[in-house]
Amino acid sequence: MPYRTLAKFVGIFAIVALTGCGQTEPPAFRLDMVKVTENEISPKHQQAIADILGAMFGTPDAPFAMPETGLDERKLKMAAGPVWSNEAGDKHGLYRRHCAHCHGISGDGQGPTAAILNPYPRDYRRGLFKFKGTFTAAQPTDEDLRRIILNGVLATAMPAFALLPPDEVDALVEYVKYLSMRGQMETALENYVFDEGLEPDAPLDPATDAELKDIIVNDLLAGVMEGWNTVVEQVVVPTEEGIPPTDRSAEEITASVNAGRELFFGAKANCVKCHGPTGLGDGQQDNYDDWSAVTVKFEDDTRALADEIKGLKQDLKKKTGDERAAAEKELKTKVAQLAVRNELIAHMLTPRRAIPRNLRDGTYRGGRRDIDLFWRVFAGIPGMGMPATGPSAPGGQGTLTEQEMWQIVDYIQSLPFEPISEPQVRRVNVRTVN
Amino acid sequence: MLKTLTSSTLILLSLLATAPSMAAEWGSLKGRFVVDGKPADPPPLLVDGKDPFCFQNKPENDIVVVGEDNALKNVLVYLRVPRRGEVEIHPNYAATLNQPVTLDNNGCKFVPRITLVRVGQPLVIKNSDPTGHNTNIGLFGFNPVIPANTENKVKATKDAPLPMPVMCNIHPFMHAHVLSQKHPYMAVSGDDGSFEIKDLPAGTHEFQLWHEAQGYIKDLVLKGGKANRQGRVNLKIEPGKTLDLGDVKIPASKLTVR
Ligand code: HEC
Ligand code: HEC
Repeated sequence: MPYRTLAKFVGIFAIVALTGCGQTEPPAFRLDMVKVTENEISPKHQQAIADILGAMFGTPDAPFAMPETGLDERKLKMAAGPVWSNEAGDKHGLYRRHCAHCHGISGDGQGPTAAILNPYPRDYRRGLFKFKGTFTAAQPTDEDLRRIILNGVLATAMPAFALLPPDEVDALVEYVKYLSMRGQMETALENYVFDEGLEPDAPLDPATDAELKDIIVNDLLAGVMEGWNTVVEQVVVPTEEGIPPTDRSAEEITASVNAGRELFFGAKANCVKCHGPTGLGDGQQDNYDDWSAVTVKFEDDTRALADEIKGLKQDLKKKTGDERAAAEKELKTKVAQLAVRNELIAHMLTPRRAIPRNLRDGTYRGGRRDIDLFWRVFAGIPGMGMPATGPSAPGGQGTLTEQEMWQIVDYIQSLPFEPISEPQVRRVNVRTVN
Repeated sequence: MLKTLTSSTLILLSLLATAPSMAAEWGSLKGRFVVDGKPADPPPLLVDGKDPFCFQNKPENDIVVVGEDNALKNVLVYLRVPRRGEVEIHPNYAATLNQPVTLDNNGCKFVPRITLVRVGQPLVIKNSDPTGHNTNIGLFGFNPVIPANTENKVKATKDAPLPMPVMCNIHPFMHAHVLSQKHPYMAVSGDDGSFEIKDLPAGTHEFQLWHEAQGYIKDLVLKGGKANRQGRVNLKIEPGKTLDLGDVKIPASKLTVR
């Protein structure tokens, strides 16, 4: 009964695993305890969800891919499992060899080294990626993931794996997608249990409930897969006419840079609001990134629960008889919930603000080619609050024309070489208010 | 075992399928939300001088708005359609699907605070301010820059069981929510705390109660029933009648904002 062990592992060892101690059993996927706690998922349903995910995706040592996911199981097997090589020198366990200590066995971005890094390693489970060539909300293409793995993310802990042979990189691309889909599916199940308002001990077993099975495959999994399956339609391809020709004269380039500067500091593109009047990234800095925002909300809700408990304790004094018994029971449940939440918070990654980049140091995490910067300006940086200036979806209405975006790209690339003392500041402040 | 289950599901499904045909008859739901007690003032917004316009404008934290007579604004009441279920929509609502809903960035606040929209309905994201904003609606996957005095037309592409957050990353103190459903049966209480959902198919339906400061409002006692732990309550809508919930009291303690 591999799934039973898995579930036990998830339920009981989730917190132990968070602290990173004791790994005698083979590594297991662990549930997103924050979501589990937020959605008040009962221990029985936690086990059921782990079982369902086990049946759909297998384990870290024995991955499995339902045909609906379109994943290539051969590649997954190469990336998964413990680290070993066969006599022919084929490497296995690539993910654990190269990635897991940062991104975690479950792809939750909480590997043992994660806490000391800034930015934190990506949590794949939301299917949310920053540096890609697709529309804002779309998933990355395989090519996007391959590029990140090969190039790394400059000026962060994410290393470049440029020396890996292509088949190994392919296997890792597949495995990142696998962990994403698995994570998204887990969230879908946790939301399902919550939305349906299942009683804590209600059955949740697709093996005996055909309708549930149908819902899991045709509603929940299909919902997850929609994003991945339509990604080819979501690639941002700049129009031919907009792309600056390679043989521009110095005057043409200067004119474009100047136009880009106007836009960057102007009220139309509004880059200045975050990147600041000198491009140092010192505009507004109060945003949390989308991953941290989840933590912040969890912490806020926990404080609210602590307050509620105080109130309940006060009220208890006024109550007698049956009413008191009921109130005591409620209080006990809440106190237990608070303990679980505080335990989780103690092990969560400290939330971080989405600090706008200092554009004067010329390091571009998502790549420094013109097209990379064009994609950033077109679709924004998902998860970091940086807005899009292009349309949200194919055929939609954008804020800037592609020509304007290219002008901004020209300006960004010249920004590191622009004297900081240029009288940008005063003009800018006037412009923000118009 | 499996067989029996499927056949009973089938019967269930066919029952469900016949249910809406009774709904040639319609009824309405109304009521008024009031606060019981005095809610603590929500914390002031952190509006710094980085954006002079917002700074001058001093937007207030309007997450909890109490009007005269303890009227509580911005409480949401909406029909919860069971998964895979369908609800018959009164012909009166056919036209509203194409009427754009406007979400304005106005005075460095989102107006309205709570936007109701149907899947497929046009949504105009507007900026009436002389300063630039962005409007980040994760549910629909968009986060466009909205320059001063412009607007951007999009469409509500998805529904979600609960209202989803809207924010402006340029001004992180700006918050709002959007509720997107496949049907029009949703209402948000107005300045006087009152709400009305018209032309519901007659029958017993589940309604969701929600306020931004609390999320789903659990265990609330109403005239027609008590909300469960997820803030949902079954109410019976009678043909040709309006179910009036009267004054629905929400304890002030539920409206504390962090
Ligand atoms: C030393 C820690 C570390 C290791 C090892 C590591 N990563 Fe990362 N990875 C990171 C960090 C940190 C980020 C986040 C960068 C950012 O947000 O700018 C990241 C981001 C990513 C992203 C997301 C990029 C995006 O567009 O959002 C992918 C995909 C990724 N890593 C894959 C891998 C794979 C595959 C491996 C193993 C071959 C790996 N990483 C190994 C630290 C690491
Ligand atoms: C709401 C705030 C915000 C606005 C407005 C904004 N940005 Fe950013 N920008 C960010 C943040 C935050 C980052 C850092 C992302 C990260 O570290 O992952 C960033 C990073 C960048 C980067 C670095 C990308 C890379 O690969 O490293 C560029 C280039 C950039 N922004 C350009 C722009 C331009 C051009 C505009 C205007 C069209 C703009 N930004 C508007 C917040 C913003």
